[in-house]
Amino acid sequence: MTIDFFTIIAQIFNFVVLIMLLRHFLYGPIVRTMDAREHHITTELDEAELKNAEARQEAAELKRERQELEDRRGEFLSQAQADAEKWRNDLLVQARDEVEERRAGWQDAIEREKTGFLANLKQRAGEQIYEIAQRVLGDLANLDLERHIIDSFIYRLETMDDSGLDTVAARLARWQKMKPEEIEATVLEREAVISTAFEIDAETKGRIAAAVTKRLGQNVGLRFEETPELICGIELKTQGYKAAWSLQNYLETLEENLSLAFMSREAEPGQGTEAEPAPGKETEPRA
Amino acid sequence: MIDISPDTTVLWSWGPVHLNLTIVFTWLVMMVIVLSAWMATRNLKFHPPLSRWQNIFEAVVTVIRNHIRDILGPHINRFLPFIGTLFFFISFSNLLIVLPEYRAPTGSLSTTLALSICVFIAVPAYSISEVGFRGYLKHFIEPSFLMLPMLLITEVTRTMTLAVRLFGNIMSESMIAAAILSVVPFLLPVATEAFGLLIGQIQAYIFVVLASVYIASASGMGEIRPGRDRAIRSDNLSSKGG
Repeated sequence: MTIDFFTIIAQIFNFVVLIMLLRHFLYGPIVRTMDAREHHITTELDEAELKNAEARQEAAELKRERQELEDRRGEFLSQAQADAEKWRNDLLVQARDEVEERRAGWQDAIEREKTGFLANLKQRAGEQIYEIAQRVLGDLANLDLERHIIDSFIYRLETMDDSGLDTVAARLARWQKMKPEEIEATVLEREAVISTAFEIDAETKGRIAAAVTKRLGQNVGLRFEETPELICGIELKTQGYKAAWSLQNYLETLEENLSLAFMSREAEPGQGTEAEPAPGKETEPRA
Repeated sequence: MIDISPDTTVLWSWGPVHLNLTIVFTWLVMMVIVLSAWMATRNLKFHPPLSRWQNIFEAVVTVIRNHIRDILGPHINRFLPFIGTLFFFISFSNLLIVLPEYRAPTGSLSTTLALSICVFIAVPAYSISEVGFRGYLKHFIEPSFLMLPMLLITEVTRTMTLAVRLFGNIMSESMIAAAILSVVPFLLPVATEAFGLLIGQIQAYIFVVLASVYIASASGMGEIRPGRDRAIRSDNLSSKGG
């Protein structure tokens, strides 16, 4: 175990040289690299943490916005449903009004058609009945129907118990006390109009005038006129009173019955043909 | 007779200047260390994958830095050249015993004494730079003036023990290896060499730890270091971890 002082000094020198060499070749570069890497990692960690915090904040923001969108979507849906419901109701009301309007139009058209049909039917039925009755009466008694009508009218005028006709007769009696010139001035008030659907001869006119004078008095003024619309009938009109015998009454009864038949057919579709009124009723002439 | 020290093998001399095996093998060790360091740092990479040499040196330097941080505090780069070079020199000196005809410089008492003298000088140098000249002198009379002689003796003796411990271990390992080789020339010397490698690394670590502790105790850093170091380390960790 020897101690060499030169070796000691040389080794100290060598050690110092080695420190300087390693400082240059090892510690400096490697420590700088490690520190830089550590700094880089620390920076990246800090940035990652920062980005993480930003991401969390952004996520929270997105979550809040999504919640708002959900809420707004619910509101929009509710609003849309309400609008759709209102629109649907409006459309229903509009459709119902249109249907009602069309139905009213159809009913009006049907009513007009029915009225026209009834008028036409009334005209034709009267003509047919008149023709049939004339042919039947002619075949049975060999009389003409107009004469029977007039006879029937005269008979009814004479035998009829009518307070209205009595009132007219009493009113006409007032003129019996008047002077002729005064009576002349009231000729229009005293006038009784005999309307027939056919032309009548002078003899018949005389019989009618006699019957009227007998019933209403001498002061009545008679005027004859032809009215084809009466359809095989005769009518007396004076001072707001009217007495008539014609197929018009029968036809009016027929018209009422036909109207009832139409109404029953509308009420019970498919059974209208079975709701015809019983024949023979309301066929009596009215005076 | 077994030559226990390479100092005795003088290759060249000129007056008091002579070149023995200790100095020659020291230069060899220095060349190997510097060459390895140069290979590791000539192409440093910032991002992985790192080269094999860079990986090894970064791992070793990281261990040394952590060791310095634990014992000497946060001024790592200030102590790293001295402490690190002590470790690399002793470690490489003991590693190269696998080479034939190689004699570890650390098996020379002159070398270990030289390293101990370096520590002996470094202790007051670092201590004075840390706490000042008066602070350094003050630690000799603490806790009492009566401690001065004992502390002065301690300064010298611990330097001597540092040198003798390293020299004794390496020299004895060489002696044992030579003795076993002469008795059992096969297999057993291999195990002895492997054991010698382990002993060499342990001795390098012990030398470095003791040198660090001597510096820390002289500058008073050792008394307050542990708690402060833990606080600093926890601060660093917390700052890294965010």
